[in-house]
Amino acid sequence: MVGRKKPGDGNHNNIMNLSKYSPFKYDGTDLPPYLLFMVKLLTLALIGKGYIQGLPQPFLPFFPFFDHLPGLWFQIVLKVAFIVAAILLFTNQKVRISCFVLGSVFLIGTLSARPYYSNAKVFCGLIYILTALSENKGRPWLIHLQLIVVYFGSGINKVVDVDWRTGQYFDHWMVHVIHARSYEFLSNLFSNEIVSKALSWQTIIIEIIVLPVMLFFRKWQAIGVWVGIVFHSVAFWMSGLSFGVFFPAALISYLSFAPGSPGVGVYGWGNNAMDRALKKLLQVFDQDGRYLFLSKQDTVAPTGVVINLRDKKGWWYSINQWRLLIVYHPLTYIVLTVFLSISFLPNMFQHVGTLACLILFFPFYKVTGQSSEKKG
Amino acid sequence: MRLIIGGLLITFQLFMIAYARFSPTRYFCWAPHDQQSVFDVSVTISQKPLTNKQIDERYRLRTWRYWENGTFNWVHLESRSIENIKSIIRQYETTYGKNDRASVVLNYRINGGQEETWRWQPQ
Repeated sequence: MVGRKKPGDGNHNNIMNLSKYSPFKYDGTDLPPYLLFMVKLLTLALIGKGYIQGLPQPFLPFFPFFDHLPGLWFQIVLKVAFIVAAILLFTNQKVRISCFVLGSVFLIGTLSARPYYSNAKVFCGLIYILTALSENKGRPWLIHLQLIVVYFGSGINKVVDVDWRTGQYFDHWMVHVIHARSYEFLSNLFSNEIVSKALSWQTIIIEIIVLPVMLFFRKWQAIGVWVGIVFHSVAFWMSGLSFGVFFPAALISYLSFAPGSPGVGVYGWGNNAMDRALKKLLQVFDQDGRYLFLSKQDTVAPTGVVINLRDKKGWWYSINQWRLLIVYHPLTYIVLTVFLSISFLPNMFQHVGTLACLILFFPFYKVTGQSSEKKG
Repeated sequence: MRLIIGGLLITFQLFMIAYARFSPTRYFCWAPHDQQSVFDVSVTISQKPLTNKQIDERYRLRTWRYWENGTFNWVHLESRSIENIKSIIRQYETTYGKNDRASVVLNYRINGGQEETWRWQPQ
Protein backbone atom coordinates (compact mmCIF):
# COMPACT_ATOMS: atom_id res chain seq x y z
CA MET A 1 0.00 0.00 0.00
CA VAL A 2 1.33 3.39 -0.93
CA GLY A 3 2.36 5.97 1.58
CA ARG A 4 2.33 3.75 4.65
CA LYS A 5 5.04 5.24 6.81
CA LYS A 6 7.49 2.82 8.32
CA PRO A 7 8.38 3.13 12.01
CA GLY A 8 11.62 4.97 12.38
CA ASP A 9 13.69 5.82 15.43
CA GLY A 10 12.58 5.59 19.08
CA ASN A 11 11.19 9.08 19.20
CA HIS A 12 9.11 8.35 16.15
CA ASN A 13 7.84 5.18 17.84
CA ASN A 14 6.59 7.22 20.80
CA ILE A 15 4.70 9.46 18.44
CA MET A 16 3.29 6.39 16.70
CA ASN A 17 2.17 5.02 20.08
CA LEU A 18 0.34 8.21 20.87
CA SER A 19 -1.14 8.47 17.40
CA LYS A 20 -3.02 5.21 17.89
CA TYR A 21 -5.44 7.24 20.03
CA SER A 22 -5.87 9.89 17.35
CA PRO A 23 -9.44 10.51 16.14
CA PHE A 24 -7.89 10.83 12.69
CA LYS A 25 -6.54 7.29 12.69
CA TYR A 26 -8.61 4.43 11.30
CA ASP A 27 -6.19 1.54 10.83
CA GLY A 28 -5.35 -1.13 13.37
CA THR A 29 -8.69 -1.62 15.12
CA ASP A 30 -11.21 -4.41 15.14
CA LEU A 31 -13.24 -2.66 12.42
CA PRO A 32 -12.34 -2.14 8.77
CA PRO A 33 -10.92 1.41 8.48
CA TYR A 34 -13.65 2.75 6.20
CA LEU A 35 -16.41 1.54 8.55
CA LEU A 36 -14.64 3.05 11.56
CA PHE A 37 -14.37 6.31 9.62
CA MET A 38 -18.08 6.09 8.79
CA VAL A 39 -19.21 5.64 12.41
CA LYS A 40 -16.88 8.39 13.63
CA LEU A 41 -18.47 10.78 11.15
CA LEU A 42 -21.94 9.60 12.16
CA THR A 43 -21.10 10.32 15.80
CA LEU A 44 -19.82 13.77 14.83
CA ALA A 45 -23.08 14.42 12.96
CA LEU A 46 -25.20 13.32 15.93
CA ILE A 47 -23.23 15.52 18.30
CA GLY A 48 -23.44 18.41 15.84
CA LYS A 49 -27.21 18.04 15.61
CA GLY A 50 -27.56 18.04 19.40
CA TYR A 51 -28.84 14.51 19.75
CA ILE A 52 -27.11 13.96 23.10
CA GLN A 53 -29.18 16.68 24.73
CA GLY A 54 -32.34 15.18 23.25
CA LEU A 55 -31.97 11.70 24.78
CA PRO A 56 -35.24 10.94 26.59
CA GLN A 57 -36.62 9.84 29.92
CA PRO A 58 -39.18 7.04 29.67
CA PHE A 59 -42.55 8.43 28.59
CA LEU A 60 -45.28 6.29 27.03
CA PRO A 61 -42.81 3.53 26.22
CA PHE A 62 -43.32 0.74 23.71
CA PHE A 63 -42.69 -1.72 26.57
CA PRO A 64 -44.28 -0.97 29.98
CA PHE A 65 -41.26 -2.04 32.05
CA PHE A 66 -39.47 1.22 31.09
CA ASP A 67 -42.02 3.03 33.25
CA HIS A 68 -40.61 1.28 36.31
CA LEU A 69 -37.13 2.74 35.77
CA PRO A 70 -36.14 6.02 37.45
CA GLY A 71 -36.58 8.51 34.62
CA LEU A 72 -33.80 10.97 35.36
CA TRP A 73 -31.24 8.23 36.05
CA PHE A 74 -32.27 6.42 32.90
CA GLN A 75 -31.64 9.58 30.89
CA ILE A 76 -28.30 10.20 32.62
CA VAL A 77 -27.20 6.62 31.91
CA LEU A 78 -28.08 7.04 28.22
CA LYS A 79 -26.12 10.30 28.00
CA VAL A 80 -23.09 8.96 29.86
CA ALA A 81 -23.13 5.78 27.76
CA PHE A 82 -23.19 7.90 24.60
CA ILE A 83 -20.33 10.13 25.75
CA VAL A 84 -18.11 7.27 26.99
CA ALA A 85 -18.73 5.18 23.85
CA ALA A 86 -18.09 8.20 21.62
CA ILE A 87 -14.78 8.91 23.38
CA LEU A 88 -13.73 5.26 23.04
CA LEU A 89 -14.72 5.27 19.39
CA PHE A 90 -12.83 8.49 18.61
CA THR A 91 -9.74 7.15 20.40
CA ASN A 92 -9.95 3.79 18.59
CA GLN A 93 -10.56 1.71 21.73
CA LYS A 94 -13.08 -1.16 21.86
CA VAL A 95 -14.62 0.11 18.66
CA ARG A 96 -17.13 -2.68 18.12
CA ILE A 97 -18.44 -2.47 21.68
CA SER A 98 -18.60 1.32 21.34
CA CYS A 99 -20.69 1.00 18.18
CA PHE A 100 -22.96 -1.47 19.91
CA VAL A 101 -23.43 0.90 22.87
CA LEU A 102 -24.04 3.94 20.65
CA GLY A 103 -26.63 2.05 18.63
CA SER A 104 -28.28 0.69 21.76
CA VAL A 105 -28.54 4.21 23.22
CA PHE A 106 -30.72 5.33 20.31
CA LEU A 107 -32.75 2.15 20.00
CA ILE A 108 -33.40 1.86 23.76
CA GLY A 109 -34.16 5.60 23.89
CA THR A 110 -36.71 5.12 21.11
CA LEU A 111 -38.31 2.09 22.76
CA SER A 112 -38.58 3.97 26.06
CA ALA A 113 -40.52 6.97 24.73
CA ARG A 114 -43.09 6.84 21.94
CA PRO A 115 -43.04 10.61 21.24
CA TYR A 116 -39.23 10.37 20.89
CA TYR A 117 -39.61 7.98 17.95
CA SER A 118 -38.13 9.16 14.69
CA ASN A 119 -36.89 7.29 11.65
CA ALA A 120 -33.59 9.19 11.73
CA LYS A 121 -32.78 7.94 15.25
CA VAL A 122 -33.75 4.36 14.43
CA PHE A 123 -31.65 4.55 11.27
CA CYS A 124 -28.57 5.77 13.16
CA GLY A 125 -29.08 3.17 15.90
CA LEU A 126 -29.25 0.39 13.34
CA ILE A 127 -26.22 1.61 11.38
CA TYR A 128 -24.18 1.50 14.61
CA ILE A 129 -25.42 -1.94 15.60
CA LEU A 130 -24.94 -3.40 12.11
CA THR A 131 -21.45 -1.91 11.94
CA ALA A 132 -20.65 -3.61 15.23
CA LEU A 133 -21.95 -6.87 13.75
CA SER A 134 -20.25 -6.56 10.37
CA GLU A 135 -17.49 -8.90 9.25
CA ASN A 136 -13.92 -7.72 8.92
CA LYS A 137 -13.51 -9.03 5.40
CA GLY A 138 -15.66 -8.64 2.34
CA ARG A 139 -18.62 -6.46 1.65
CA PRO A 140 -20.52 -5.03 4.66
CA TRP A 141 -23.72 -6.73 3.56
CA LEU A 142 -25.69 -5.91 6.68
CA ILE A 143 -25.23 -2.15 6.24
CA HIS A 144 -25.95 -2.35 2.52
CA LEU A 145 -29.10 -4.38 3.12
CA GLN A 146 -30.13 -1.88 5.78
CA LEU A 147 -29.93 0.97 3.27
CA ILE A 148 -31.85 -1.05 0.70
CA VAL A 149 -34.58 -1.88 3.24
CA VAL A 150 -34.87 1.78 4.28
CA TYR A 151 -35.42 2.98 0.70
CA PHE A 152 -37.59 0.04 -0.31
CA GLY A 153 -39.75 0.32 2.82
CA SER A 154 -40.20 4.07 2.32
CA GLY A 155 -41.18 3.52 -1.29
CA ILE A 156 -43.68 0.77 -0.47
CA ASN A 157 -45.33 2.90 2.21
CA LYS A 158 -45.72 5.70 -0.33
CA VAL A 159 -46.99 3.71 -3.29
CA VAL A 160 -49.86 2.17 -1.29
CA ASP A 161 -51.02 5.64 -0.20
CA VAL A 162 -53.54 7.19 -2.58
CA ASP A 163 -52.45 10.75 -1.66
CA TRP A 164 -48.92 9.91 -2.78
CA ARG A 165 -50.08 8.37 -6.03
CA THR A 166 -52.27 11.36 -6.93
CA GLY A 167 -49.73 13.96 -5.83
CA GLN A 168 -52.06 15.33 -3.12
CA TYR A 169 -49.46 14.68 -0.41
CA PHE A 170 -46.71 16.53 -2.24
CA ASP A 171 -48.88 19.50 -3.15
CA HIS A 172 -50.10 19.93 0.43
CA TRP A 173 -46.62 19.43 1.88
CA MET A 174 -44.93 21.86 -0.48
CA VAL A 175 -47.59 24.58 -0.36
CA HIS A 176 -48.71 24.52 3.28
CA VAL A 177 -46.02 22.81 5.34
CA ILE A 178 -42.87 23.87 3.52
CA HIS A 179 -44.24 26.82 1.56
CA ALA A 180 -41.50 26.19 -1.00
CA ARG A 181 -40.82 28.93 -3.53
CA SER A 182 -39.21 26.43 -5.92
CA TYR A 183 -42.45 24.43 -5.98
CA GLU A 184 -44.51 27.57 -6.61
CA PHE A 185 -42.18 28.44 -9.48
CA LEU A 186 -42.52 24.98 -11.05
CA SER A 187 -46.29 24.98 -10.50
CA ASN A 188 -46.57 28.29 -12.32
CA LEU A 189 -44.62 26.87 -15.25
CA PHE A 190 -46.70 23.71 -15.55
CA SER A 191 -49.52 23.02 -13.08
CA ASN A 192 -49.81 21.88 -9.48
CA GLU A 193 -51.17 18.53 -10.56
CA ILE A 194 -48.41 17.76 -13.05
CA VAL A 195 -45.57 18.90 -10.79
CA SER A 196 -46.87 17.18 -7.65
CA LYS A 197 -47.55 13.92 -9.49
CA ALA A 198 -44.14 14.00 -11.17
CA LEU A 199 -42.34 14.64 -7.87
CA SER A 200 -44.35 11.96 -6.07
CA TRP A 201 -43.69 9.31 -8.67
CA GLN A 202 -40.02 10.12 -9.08
CA THR A 203 -39.68 9.68 -5.29
CA ILE A 204 -41.57 6.38 -5.36
CA ILE A 205 -39.61 5.00 -8.32
CA ILE A 206 -36.24 6.04 -6.90
CA GLU A 207 -37.07 4.52 -3.50
CA ILE A 208 -38.63 1.26 -4.64
CA ILE A 209 -36.52 0.40 -7.68
CA VAL A 210 -33.61 2.66 -8.57
CA LEU A 211 -31.73 2.92 -5.27
CA PRO A 212 -32.32 -0.65 -4.01
CA VAL A 213 -31.20 -2.15 -7.34
CA MET A 214 -28.21 0.14 -7.82
CA LEU A 215 -26.98 -0.19 -4.25
CA PHE A 216 -27.33 -3.98 -4.43
CA PHE A 217 -25.24 -4.61 -7.55
CA ARG A 218 -21.59 -3.70 -7.20
CA LYS A 219 -21.20 -2.41 -10.76
CA TRP A 220 -23.99 0.14 -10.23
CA GLN A 221 -23.00 1.26 -6.75
CA ALA A 222 -20.99 4.36 -7.69
CA ILE A 223 -23.91 5.64 -9.77
CA GLY A 224 -26.37 4.53 -7.08
CA VAL A 225 -24.53 6.50 -4.43
CA TRP A 226 -24.59 9.59 -6.62
CA VAL A 227 -28.30 9.12 -7.39
CA GLY A 228 -28.82 8.88 -3.63
CA ILE A 229 -26.91 12.11 -3.08
CA VAL A 230 -28.97 13.84 -5.79
CA PHE A 231 -32.20 12.45 -4.33
CA HIS A 232 -31.48 13.67 -0.80
CA SER A 233 -30.02 16.96 -2.03
CA VAL A 234 -33.10 17.82 -4.09
CA ALA A 235 -35.31 16.97 -1.10
CA PHE A 236 -33.15 19.26 1.04
CA TRP A 237 -33.09 22.10 -1.47
CA MET A 238 -36.84 21.98 -2.08
CA SER A 239 -37.90 21.58 1.54
CA GLY A 240 -35.05 23.25 3.42
CA LEU A 241 -35.25 20.28 5.81
CA SER A 242 -32.47 17.86 6.68
CA PHE A 243 -35.04 15.62 8.45
CA GLY A 244 -33.11 15.73 11.70
CA VAL A 245 -29.85 13.91 11.25
CA PHE A 246 -31.21 11.71 8.46
CA PHE A 247 -29.82 13.66 5.50
CA PRO A 248 -26.18 13.73 6.72
CA ALA A 249 -26.50 10.22 8.21
CA ALA A 250 -27.69 8.74 4.91
CA LEU A 251 -24.81 10.34 3.01
CA ILE A 252 -22.31 9.20 5.66
CA SER A 253 -23.63 5.64 5.46
CA TYR A 254 -22.74 5.65 1.74
CA LEU A 255 -19.11 5.41 2.88
CA SER A 256 -19.85 1.72 3.42
CA PHE A 257 -19.71 1.45 -0.39
CA ALA A 258 -16.13 2.76 -0.48
CA PRO A 259 -13.95 -0.07 0.79
CA GLY A 260 -10.29 -0.53 0.07
CA SER A 261 -8.90 2.58 1.72
CA PRO A 262 -6.12 2.66 -0.86
CA GLY A 263 -2.85 4.42 -0.44
CA VAL A 264 -2.52 7.59 -2.44
CA GLY A 265 0.68 8.73 -4.13
CA VAL A 266 0.72 12.41 -5.02
CA TYR A 267 3.34 13.20 -7.68
CA GLY A 268 4.63 16.66 -8.36
CA TRP A 269 3.90 18.22 -4.98
CA GLY A 270 5.61 21.59 -4.78
CA ASN A 271 8.02 22.74 -2.12
CA ASN A 272 7.10 26.37 -1.48
CA ALA A 273 5.76 27.57 1.87
CA MET A 274 2.13 27.19 0.82
CA ASP A 275 2.65 23.62 -0.44
CA ARG A 276 4.47 22.65 2.75
CA ALA A 277 1.71 24.11 4.95
CA LEU A 278 -1.03 22.36 2.99
CA LYS A 279 0.90 19.09 3.10
CA LYS A 280 1.27 19.41 6.87
CA LEU A 281 -2.44 20.08 7.27
CA LEU A 282 -3.37 17.07 5.13
CA GLN A 283 -0.99 14.86 7.11
CA VAL A 284 -2.57 15.90 10.44
CA PHE A 285 -5.87 14.44 9.27
CA ASP A 286 -4.17 11.39 7.74
CA GLN A 287 -2.65 9.66 10.75
CA ASP A 288 -2.58 6.34 8.88
CA GLY A 289 -0.11 7.87 6.46
CA ARG A 290 -2.07 6.91 3.37
CA TYR A 291 -0.97 10.00 1.49
CA LEU A 292 2.58 9.90 0.17
CA PHE A 293 3.72 13.24 -1.21
CA LEU A 294 6.37 12.89 -3.89
CA SER A 295 8.37 15.66 -5.43
CA LYS A 296 8.82 16.20 -9.15
CA GLN A 297 12.11 14.33 -9.07
CA ASP A 298 10.86 11.20 -7.27
CA THR A 299 10.80 8.08 -9.37
CA VAL A 300 9.17 5.72 -6.87
CA ALA A 301 6.35 3.79 -8.52
CA PRO A 302 3.68 3.36 -5.85
CA THR A 303 0.67 1.11 -6.12
CA GLY A 304 -2.82 2.31 -5.26
CA VAL A 305 -4.20 5.62 -6.45
CA VAL A 306 -1.74 7.83 -8.32
CA ILE A 307 -2.41 11.53 -8.45
CA ASN A 308 -0.25 13.30 -10.96
CA LEU A 309 0.10 17.02 -10.46
CA ARG A 310 3.28 17.40 -12.51
CA ASP A 311 2.04 16.47 -16.00
CA LYS A 312 0.46 19.30 -17.89
CA LYS A 313 -2.26 17.57 -19.90
CA GLY A 314 -4.73 20.42 -19.88
CA TRP A 315 -6.93 22.12 -17.30
CA TRP A 316 -9.54 19.32 -17.18
CA TYR A 317 -6.87 16.75 -16.38
CA SER A 318 -5.43 18.97 -13.62
CA ILE A 319 -8.86 19.64 -12.09
CA ASN A 320 -9.52 15.93 -11.98
CA GLN A 321 -6.21 15.21 -10.28
CA TRP A 322 -7.11 17.74 -7.57
CA ARG A 323 -10.61 16.25 -7.36
CA LEU A 324 -9.08 12.82 -6.69
CA LEU A 325 -6.83 14.31 -4.04
CA ILE A 326 -9.89 15.80 -2.32
CA VAL A 327 -12.15 12.75 -2.76
CA TYR A 328 -9.68 10.34 -1.17
CA HIS A 329 -8.67 12.52 1.76
CA PRO A 330 -10.46 12.04 5.13
CA LEU A 331 -10.43 15.80 5.80
CA THR A 332 -12.94 16.27 2.99
CA TYR A 333 -15.50 14.07 4.72
CA ILE A 334 -14.92 15.67 8.09
CA VAL A 335 -15.50 19.14 6.60
CA LEU A 336 -18.61 17.94 4.72
CA THR A 337 -20.02 16.36 7.89
CA VAL A 338 -19.42 19.60 9.81
CA PHE A 339 -21.09 21.62 7.05
CA LEU A 340 -24.13 19.33 6.91
CA SER A 341 -24.56 18.67 10.62
CA ILE A 342 -23.49 21.48 12.88
CA SER A 343 -26.75 23.08 13.92
CA PHE A 344 -25.47 26.56 14.70
CA LEU A 345 -23.83 27.07 11.29
CA PRO A 346 -25.83 29.18 8.84
CA ASN A 347 -27.95 27.27 6.31
CA MET A 348 -25.55 28.33 3.57
CA PHE A 349 -23.01 25.75 4.82
CA GLN A 350 -25.49 22.94 4.23
CA HIS A 351 -26.09 24.19 0.70
CA VAL A 352 -22.36 24.40 0.01
CA GLY A 353 -21.78 20.93 1.49
CA THR A 354 -24.58 19.43 -0.58
CA LEU A 355 -23.30 21.03 -3.78
CA ALA A 356 -19.76 19.83 -3.02
CA CYS A 357 -21.03 16.24 -2.60
CA LEU A 358 -22.80 16.40 -5.96
CA ILE A 359 -19.70 17.68 -7.76
CA LEU A 360 -17.08 15.55 -6.02
CA PHE A 361 -18.87 12.22 -6.29
CA PHE A 362 -20.21 12.60 -9.83
CA PRO A 363 -19.40 9.14 -11.24
CA PHE A 364 -18.83 9.98 -14.90
CA TYR A 365 -15.67 12.06 -14.85
CA LYS A 366 -13.43 11.24 -17.77
CA VAL A 367 -9.80 12.15 -17.41
CA THR A 368 -8.06 12.80 -20.69
CA GLY A 369 -4.83 10.88 -21.00
CA GLN A 370 -4.10 8.04 -18.65
CA SER A 371 -6.74 7.46 -16.01
CA SER A 372 -5.16 7.40 -12.63
CA GLU A 373 -8.13 6.31 -10.55
CA LYS A 374 -7.92 2.78 -9.33
CA LYS A 375 -11.10 0.78 -9.76
CA GLY A 376 -12.58 -1.26 -6.95
CA MET B 1 -23.48 -15.46 14.91
CA ARG B 2 -23.02 -11.78 14.06
CA LEU B 3 -24.64 -12.29 10.67
CA ILE B 4 -27.57 -14.13 12.24
CA ILE B 5 -28.28 -11.30 14.68
CA GLY B 6 -27.89 -8.70 11.92
CA GLY B 7 -30.08 -10.77 9.62
CA LEU B 8 -32.77 -10.93 12.29
CA LEU B 9 -32.73 -7.13 12.62
CA ILE B 10 -33.18 -6.75 8.86
CA THR B 11 -35.90 -9.43 8.80
CA PHE B 12 -37.75 -7.68 11.64
CA GLN B 13 -37.89 -4.51 9.56
CA LEU B 14 -39.20 -6.39 6.52
CA PHE B 15 -41.85 -7.93 8.77
CA MET B 16 -42.83 -4.47 10.05
CA ILE B 17 -43.09 -3.13 6.49
CA ALA B 18 -45.50 -5.99 5.71
CA TYR B 19 -47.30 -5.57 9.07
CA ALA B 20 -47.90 -1.88 8.30
CA ARG B 21 -50.24 -3.00 5.51
CA PHE B 22 -52.57 -4.40 8.18
CA SER B 23 -52.05 -1.84 10.94
CA PRO B 24 -52.82 1.89 10.90
CA THR B 25 -49.81 2.84 13.06
CA ARG B 26 -46.43 3.32 11.40
CA TYR B 27 -43.56 2.40 13.72
CA PHE B 28 -40.29 0.71 12.66
CA CYS B 29 -41.51 0.34 9.06
CA TRP B 30 -39.76 3.25 7.34
CA ALA B 31 -42.70 5.53 6.77
CA PRO B 32 -41.19 8.97 7.23
CA HIS B 33 -43.18 11.90 5.88
CA ASP B 34 -45.86 9.66 4.41
CA GLN B 35 -48.67 11.80 5.74
CA GLN B 36 -48.91 15.37 6.92
CA SER B 37 -51.78 15.77 9.34
CA VAL B 38 -52.78 19.05 10.88
CA PHE B 39 -54.60 18.30 14.09
CA ASP B 40 -56.18 19.86 17.10
CA VAL B 41 -56.70 18.14 20.44
CA SER B 42 -59.18 19.14 23.12
CA VAL B 43 -59.20 17.43 26.49
CA THR B 44 -61.86 17.69 29.15
CA ILE B 45 -61.39 16.44 32.69
CA SER B 46 -64.35 16.59 35.05
CA GLN B 47 -66.09 18.87 32.55
CA LYS B 48 -63.16 21.32 32.69
CA PRO B 49 -61.27 21.84 29.44
CA LEU B 50 -57.46 21.83 29.54
CA THR B 51 -55.55 24.74 28.06
CA ASN B 52 -53.44 24.27 24.91
CA LYS B 53 -50.27 24.40 27.01
CA GLN B 54 -51.58 21.71 29.36
CA ILE B 55 -52.50 19.52 26.39
CA ASP B 56 -49.06 19.96 24.78
CA GLU B 57 -47.38 19.00 28.05
CA ARG B 58 -49.73 16.07 28.61
CA TYR B 59 -48.92 14.36 25.31
CA ARG B 60 -45.62 16.17 24.55
CA LEU B 61 -46.95 17.71 21.39
CA ARG B 62 -45.16 20.36 19.40
CA THR B 63 -46.39 23.04 17.02
CA TRP B 64 -45.13 23.85 13.55
CA ARG B 65 -45.42 26.72 11.13
CA TYR B 66 -48.20 26.18 8.59
CA TRP B 67 -49.08 28.34 5.58
CA GLU B 68 -52.81 28.86 5.10
CA ASN B 69 -54.92 31.65 3.67
CA GLY B 70 -51.89 33.78 2.89
CA THR B 71 -50.38 33.68 6.36
CA PHE B 72 -48.37 31.45 8.68
CA ASN B 73 -50.09 29.89 11.68
CA TRP B 74 -48.70 27.64 14.40
CA VAL B 75 -50.47 24.29 14.37
CA HIS B 76 -49.97 20.73 15.57
CA LEU B 77 -48.53 18.72 12.72
CA GLU B 78 -47.78 15.01 12.50
CA SER B 79 -45.49 14.01 9.65
CA ARG B 80 -46.10 10.29 10.05
CA SER B 81 -49.43 8.51 10.37
CA ILE B 82 -52.06 10.34 12.45
CA GLU B 83 -52.62 6.94 14.06
CA ASN B 84 -49.33 7.49 15.88
CA ILE B 85 -50.91 10.48 17.67
CA LYS B 86 -53.99 8.41 18.47
CA SER B 87 -51.74 5.69 19.91
CA ILE B 88 -50.00 8.26 22.14
CA ILE B 89 -53.34 9.61 23.44
CA ARG B 90 -54.74 6.11 23.91
CA GLN B 91 -51.68 4.93 25.80
CA TYR B 92 -51.58 8.03 28.01
CA GLU B 93 -55.26 7.80 28.92
CA THR B 94 -55.04 4.12 29.80
CA THR B 95 -51.86 4.47 31.88
CA TYR B 96 -50.60 7.77 33.36
CA GLY B 97 -53.92 9.57 32.96
CA LYS B 98 -56.23 6.68 33.75
CA ASN B 99 -57.59 8.25 36.95
CA ASP B 100 -58.30 11.58 35.20
CA ARG B 101 -61.08 9.93 33.20
CA ALA B 102 -60.44 12.46 30.44
CA SER B 103 -62.55 12.91 27.34
CA VAL B 104 -60.44 13.64 24.29
CA VAL B 105 -61.47 14.92 20.89
CA LEU B 106 -58.96 14.85 18.05
CA ASN B 107 -59.84 16.81 14.92
CA TYR B 108 -57.49 16.33 12.02
CA ARG B 109 -57.01 16.76 8.30
CA ILE B 110 -54.72 14.36 6.45
CA ASN B 111 -52.74 15.98 3.62
CA GLY B 112 -55.13 18.93 3.52
CA GLY B 113 -58.19 16.72 3.02
CA GLN B 114 -61.56 16.63 4.78
CA GLU B 115 -61.65 17.19 8.53
CA GLU B 116 -62.13 14.01 10.52
CA THR B 117 -62.82 13.48 14.20
CA TRP B 118 -61.65 10.81 16.60
CA ARG B 119 -62.87 10.61 20.20
CA TRP B 120 -61.55 9.00 23.31
CA GLN B 121 -64.00 8.42 26.14
CA PRO B 122 -63.03 7.20 29.60
CA GLN B 123 -63.36 3.41 29.80
